Amino acid sequence: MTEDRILPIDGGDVPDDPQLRGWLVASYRNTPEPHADAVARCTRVVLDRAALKRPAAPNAPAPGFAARHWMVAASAIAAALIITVTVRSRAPLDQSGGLAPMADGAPVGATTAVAGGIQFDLRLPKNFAANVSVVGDFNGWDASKTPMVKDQSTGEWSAKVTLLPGRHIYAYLVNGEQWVVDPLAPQIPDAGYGPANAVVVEGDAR
Amino acid sequence: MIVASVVLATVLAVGAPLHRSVAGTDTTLSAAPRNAAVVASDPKAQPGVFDPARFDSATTVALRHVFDSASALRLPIAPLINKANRGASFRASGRKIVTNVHAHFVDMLAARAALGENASESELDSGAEAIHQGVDGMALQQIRTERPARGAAVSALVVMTDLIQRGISTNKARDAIVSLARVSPTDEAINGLQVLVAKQAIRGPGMAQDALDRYVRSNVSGAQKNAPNPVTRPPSPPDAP
Repeated sequence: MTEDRILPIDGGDVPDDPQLRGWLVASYRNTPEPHADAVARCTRVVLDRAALKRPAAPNAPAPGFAARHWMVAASAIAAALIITVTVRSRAPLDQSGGLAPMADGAPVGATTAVAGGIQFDLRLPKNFAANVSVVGDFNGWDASKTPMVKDQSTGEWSAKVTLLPGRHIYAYLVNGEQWVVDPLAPQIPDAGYGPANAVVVEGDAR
Repeated sequence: MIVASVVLATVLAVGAPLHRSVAGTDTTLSAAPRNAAVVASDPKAQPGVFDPARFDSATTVALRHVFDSASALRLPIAPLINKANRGASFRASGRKIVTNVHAHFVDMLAARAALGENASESELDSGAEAIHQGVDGMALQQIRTERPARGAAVSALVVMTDLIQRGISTNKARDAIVSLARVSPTDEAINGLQVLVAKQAIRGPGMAQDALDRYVRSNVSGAQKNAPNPVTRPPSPPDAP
């Protein structure tokens, strides 16, 4: 270090005084070595002050689970939403409320004229239903009146109903709570209730 | 975790349309014709019965007013009772049930005006549903013209309503049904159109429209080709004096 670089004295309005400069340089040269204790004390004080300026003390209460772990919480919520939405979209009910055809391409429902009535057949995904009823105009929309019987070999639900000639509205009630319609059978406006099918029995007009 | 969620969603979302495209393939549940319309009547069948216990008191009073109005105008009330019972079974609110039953009552009046006083109960019921879907009285009159017998227009009305329900425009559905009813005295062609459109509608409304156009074109032109030629016998010469 050179003397001139160490002491760039700016005297403001006072012009630079070479004599004063010499005195100051001499006084610095005569400064005694700092004591080890003094250095340690100074260091400790500086570190303590720095510690006091931290945003939060280590023992301060957490600002909240979601704030501290927002990434984990957001990820969990996103995953739950995605799984829920996707599972619903893959469920057998389609947007119109009707039962979408199964993956093997078979239709889920059929109405067939048989001796003495109309047979309603319904094929549902495996383990989808514990009980199924066909409910319609012909039974006063009473779910308990026409339960369907499951064929254990084919898994199809069926019921035979005697119907008067004319048009009849019906729907299937699965597990007592979920309405299902045949997506290929004639449908009628849901009128804000829910979808339903129609079957026409020919004969004498009523 | 976010990456895993996105990957899971992508996999499942890609799987859904595959599921639907496979589902659109055409197979039948049994050899029997679908939605076959035959079978005899049975007096033991249960008609629509109004059970006030299924509704709250205010709804019951309002429904009785509608039923009384229908009876006064000589409209069948069984379709209205069925409408109410259906709403109760679907656990609809009383207000919605009354609104729907009253709207059906009004639509049945319009259907009777179009189909005639001789229309059957099922025709009035089906015609009211068609009117509710936006079909005008003129279309019902055209169908009645092609199916003049009492009760003969039910299938045509049901199928027309179903076509509109599946996204076919009202005018196109009307024209298709009237054309098929004109060329064939039975409902076989109309029921065939319903099955075809229902299958194609799963693949999209455009497919359903195209299928309807092709079906009607082929059936109507085919019927005209197969129709016997009109007798064009040359006029007999005037008797010689």
